Amino acid sequence: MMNQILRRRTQGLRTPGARLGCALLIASTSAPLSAQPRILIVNSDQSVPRYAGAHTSFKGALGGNIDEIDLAAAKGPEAALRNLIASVDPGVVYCIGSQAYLMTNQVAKNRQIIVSSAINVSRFPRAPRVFGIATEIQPAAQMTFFRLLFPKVRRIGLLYSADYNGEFAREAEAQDADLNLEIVARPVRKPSDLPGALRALLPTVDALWLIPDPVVLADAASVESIFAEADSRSKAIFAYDAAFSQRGAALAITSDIATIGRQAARLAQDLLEGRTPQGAVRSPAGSELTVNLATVARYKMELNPDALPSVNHFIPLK
Amino acid sequence: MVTALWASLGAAGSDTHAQAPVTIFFYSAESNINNFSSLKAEFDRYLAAQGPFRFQPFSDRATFERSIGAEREGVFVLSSWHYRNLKDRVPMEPLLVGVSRNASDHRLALSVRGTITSLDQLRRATVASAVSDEYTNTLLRQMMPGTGRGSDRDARVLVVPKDIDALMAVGFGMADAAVTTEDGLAQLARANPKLAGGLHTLARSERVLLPVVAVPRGVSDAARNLVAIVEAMGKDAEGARRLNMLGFDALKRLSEAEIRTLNR
Repeated sequence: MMNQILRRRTQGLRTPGARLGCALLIASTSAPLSAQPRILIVNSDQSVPRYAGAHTSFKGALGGNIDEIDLAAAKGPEAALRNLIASVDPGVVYCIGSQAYLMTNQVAKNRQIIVSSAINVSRFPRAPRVFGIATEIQPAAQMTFFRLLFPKVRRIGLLYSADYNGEFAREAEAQDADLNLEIVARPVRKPSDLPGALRALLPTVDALWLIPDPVVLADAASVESIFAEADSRSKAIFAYDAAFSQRGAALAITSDIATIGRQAARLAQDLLEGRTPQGAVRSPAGSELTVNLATVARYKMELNPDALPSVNHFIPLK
Repeated sequence: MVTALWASLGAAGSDTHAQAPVTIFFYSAESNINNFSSLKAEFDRYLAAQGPFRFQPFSDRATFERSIGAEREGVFVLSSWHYRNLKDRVPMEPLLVGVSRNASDHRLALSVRGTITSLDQLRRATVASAVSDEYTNTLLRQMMPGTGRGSDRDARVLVVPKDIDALMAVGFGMADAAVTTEDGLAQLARANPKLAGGLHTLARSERVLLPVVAVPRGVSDAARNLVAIVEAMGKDAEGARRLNMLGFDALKRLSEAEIRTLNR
């Protein structure tokens, strides 16, 4: 049970943490103590698949001397984390998910921190010792996939709220000519403006780009109205979550969770070797693509056959 | 047409097949294909129409090797590099090779951003690659002989799902270099010419055969029949679409020269 709550692996010698008398700390292997600074993984909730995926790939890339805590399973997680940091004295703490980061940032004010698997990492309160891997794939990379998979799609509509995604929209518009695309971005001020914005935009574009936006996607009814309106005009939707592919999105582009864990591992290596990474937040380097073949066939879209090996999941023809 | 081929080739052994489906075992260290659920569903659907066959992709190399080591009736699809590493441990007969754009081999390229002009600048760099860490290091050693780089200690490989991810990782600053197929470079050039224009190739590998199809030595006719069905897949649209998912347009019989290359 305790193993599930808090797993700790030491490499031979007992550490100050083991002297706490805290039964939460479990010494295990008999390998010699490494001279390398230690790494601590703080996971918000290891039962969440995307958190578990990043966790596993991070460990797989580094191996060896890693300690870990699952906050969701720990009793008194903040005290457990505080004790663990004191005992392990990690050179780097890898935080998976928002809760892990926010708690670690509170209790470990002088540690080098890497954070991933959290929405809007770039908006987190951050010190110079904090580095992150974003969850969201940058606009130009998504647009490259649009061109790769659907080379005939040229005009792409984008609805967004200026408060949340103004920068995203500007970045997309700034790069569309380089990709031989035209991004038609229209701001939506409040959820009730969505139906009118959709009716005005859809007739003018080949496809609609759905991004995580709390004003545009205010509730389930908003999602339904977007898909219904787009379907009535046979306009493809390019989405940011594979769940939308089941609803009929022609394409969904998400970040590859395992790659995020591996990127965090490389970042940890850099930090432990005293090298300062370029940029506080890195974009995810790996992608996962889902294509709905039924939608592609129904809308008579041209899917580039050369790009098929790049597609991770297909929603089959009915 | 493929159904007809199965009927003509497999009728004699159909009773046996009904009891024990013949399996295609797929693992590729040469391409980081990870759409396993889609691959299995698509291939199983296609093969079921041809006879008692099924498709089993593997994500883990060790499990794949254990499985084919114990298999006497299967068909194996694996990278040519992996075949050469395995052939002394697992007695196999290579029969087919993948074909992409009318070629059964390709080269891999080491691409960097414009600011990097020499191999020396790549020491301790992060190299993005869509193939396994081990194979990437093999390629780096081949592409950069005598530079001091290329040992496992120096190469920091960031494994990503696909070639275009590796190239975009360099273009957008998440990695310093990328090892990809030349096809991957061409794909990026078509999709995002400006980004591709900012990259240049520092080194290229020797030509490498595409993945091969092999059977265990002394295999039964049933497995050879399945090989014939797989060989014909590139000739019909549905079969070709599935082969595209593996990264090739068709499969062809290995030439004697190609077999000699594989068995060197």
